[in-house]
Parts: sequence; structure tokens; C-alpha cells
Amino acid sequence: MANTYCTATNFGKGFFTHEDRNDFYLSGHAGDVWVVGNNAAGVSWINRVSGTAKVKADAQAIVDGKVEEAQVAYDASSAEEQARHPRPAKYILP
Amino acid sequence: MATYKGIKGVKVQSKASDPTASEAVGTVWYNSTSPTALKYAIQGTAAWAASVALPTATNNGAGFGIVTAAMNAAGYTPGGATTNCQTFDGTAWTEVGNTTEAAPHYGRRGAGTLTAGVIWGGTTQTVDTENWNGSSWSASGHMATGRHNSASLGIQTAAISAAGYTDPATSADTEIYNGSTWTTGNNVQTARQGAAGAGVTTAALIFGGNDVLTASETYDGTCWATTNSLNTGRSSATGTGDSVPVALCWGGANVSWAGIANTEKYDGTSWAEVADLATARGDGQEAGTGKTSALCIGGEPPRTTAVEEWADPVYTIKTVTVS
Repeated sequence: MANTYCTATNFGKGFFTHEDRNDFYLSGHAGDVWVVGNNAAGVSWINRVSGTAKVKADAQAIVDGKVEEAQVAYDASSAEEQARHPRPAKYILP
Repeated sequence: MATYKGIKGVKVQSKASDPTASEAVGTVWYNSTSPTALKYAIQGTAAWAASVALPTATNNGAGFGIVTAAMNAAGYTPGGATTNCQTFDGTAWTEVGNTTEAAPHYGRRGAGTLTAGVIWGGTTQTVDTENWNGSSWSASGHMATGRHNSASLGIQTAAISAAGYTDPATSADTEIYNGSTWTTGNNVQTARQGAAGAGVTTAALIFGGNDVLTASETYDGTCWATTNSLNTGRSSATGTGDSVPVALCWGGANVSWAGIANTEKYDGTSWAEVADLATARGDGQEAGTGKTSALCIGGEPPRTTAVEEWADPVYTIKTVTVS
């Protein structure tokens, strides 16, 4: 399995370092969902940031919920704002 | 068998504390304080790291400055368009004086330093321009054509606003600011909003923009010319670069308005992918030179407080482990 999933609150500087980024795959998503490379460095990072492990389906559901919230906000936004960008769409976590 | 002394001409040094990683690349030392360890430094590839979060999630504002002296001005927050501004000293964000417009705009753009900056434009196609003197904002000369989401570059006394949105369509207009007034320049080749800019008024670059453009253009002080395109098209791109040919472009949004994490570097001829943001986003604010450092500030979707700091290259101290 290439990736693992967790939720963790980004507390700013030190949450992930330049060294971390060279050591494992990491991508952040809405709802404090993080997709983490499933190697020793990635697993160590989840522990370091007190992440809560999630299965992919649960992580995906959190992100989907946030996208749905963004869709509601978009639908309620002004015509000028809607002209600036398309309606947010759901996507599949890596 | 080769020895360290044979290669380096000195024995492995014992040090009470670790040296600066960038200065220690290629050396090995023994850290004599607890925990004692044999260490070395390496030069890794460029990467983004988490930095100090904004006090309020903000997108589509104006950013300028460098990573240790940056401005995050105006923009859009969960409470709507804002006149709030914050400065960053590398350690913390500090609220500073608000912009002075009567009604808050977002989609403003900016250029300059933390002691001499400028912001301009914004919704709804405002012509407002404000100078920052290090402690407060003051109104300055109006743009010829109001717009929002233009590409921005330069310094307070020599800035460019290129393209943007002027109701009811994207704009190709270029205007050049001298610290107090705007003059009209030649149009960009491809009208667009949400492009990013880099460089100075005599050597500039704009790139990306809505809708999911890869197009890049160089400016020689007089005319815009097409150059090699980004590898990844992106709306609401962000980027920086204080002296083209080097420029950095990161983030943006795709055709589904999902954030892009991809980062590309321009070397004067072409763009090459270098690394990804951890949190994909577009429509954020920027600071930094783009050569060795940059700040990705806020952005959306979804609107975020997250800030990431670019380092190129990354220097790291490692500990020798044996088993």
C-alpha cells in the first residue's frame, strides 16, 4: 500500500519540515486530512504530530463533506465570484 | 582504506553543538553534548515546509516582501472581504494597520518590500492604489483601468499590473506604477485573470491564470512576448521572483476548482517541475525572491490559514546510525 491516511491539525512551523518532504510523500486536504507515504518516515511523522489514523474511505468522506460545504457556499456567492472560478467538485484522494 | 583525514585533511572534529547545516555539507563531526552522536550534513532537493499559520484564513489578497519580512494585505476571509493586514517576521504574524479604502475589496495585488510596498485594484474593478511605508497605508494615484486579479510584480516605485478582470471580461491591459502614478503599457498577448507575475519592470514574466492556462509571457520593458509554457495549467496561480530569469510558480486550481500542489521553476527558457506544496491551493498570497526562498500564504479551496515556506536547496543534518 503506497499511502496511509490520517487527520491531524496543522500547528504551523515544525508540523512538517523540509526534511520530512524529502523523506516521504505528504499531501494535505480539507478537513485536516493528510495522505502520507507509507514508509517508516511517514509513519513516524503521524506519531510525531499526534495524527489519528483513518482508512481511505473515511478520509475520503471527510474531504467530500468539505467539498459539499464549498459547493453550498459557491451557490450562494455573487455572480462576480462565480464568474471567477467554477463550482468546486469532488475528487479522489491519492 | 581511505580515511576521513586522508580525504579532508583533518580529523573528525568534536563539537559542542551542531554547525549550520548549509555550511557543514560534506563534513562529518562528533557532537560531544548529549545525546552524543556522529553527524553529517547533506544537501537535499528543494521542498516546502510548514510555516506559521495566518491568524485568519485568507485568499485572493495581496502579498509581497520576503520570507522574513512579508505582507499579507486585504483579501477574502470567512467573514467576507477584509481590509485587515498582517506582517510576518519569520516567527509570527502581527496585525498592522488596515488598508484605507471605504469598502473592502478582494482580488487586490501588490509589490514591494515591508518598508515600501504598494497594493492596487480589486473587486469591483476598483482603481484604488495604496502605498505602504512600513507602518501605514496611504492613498495614491488611481489606475487608468480598474481591475481585479491582475498579475503583479516589481517594487513600490516600479511595479507592473498585467491583465486581470475588467467587467465583463478578462483584460490584456498593462499598467506601470512609479510610486505615485500609473502609465499604460503594451497589452499582454493573452488576456487573463488570476495569473502570477515575477521580476522587475524591465525584465518580467507572467504565467498561468484562468482558465487553467499554461501560457507564459516575458516583458522586456516595452513588449510582452510568448515564452515556453508551464507544464501544468492553472487558474489563480501564485508565484514570485525578484529578478527574472528565475521565477517560481506554485499552486493554482484546476478545471474543477480543486487545488493544485505542483510547483515549477523557470530558468530563463523553460519551466520544470520541482516539488509539491503539502496543501494544494490556489488564489493565495506570496512573498520571497523565488530563487532560494518563498512563502505560500493562505489560499483556497478550501480557504486556509496554512502557510508554507520554500527552500531551495534543503540542508539537513543527519545522524550516523549503526546496527
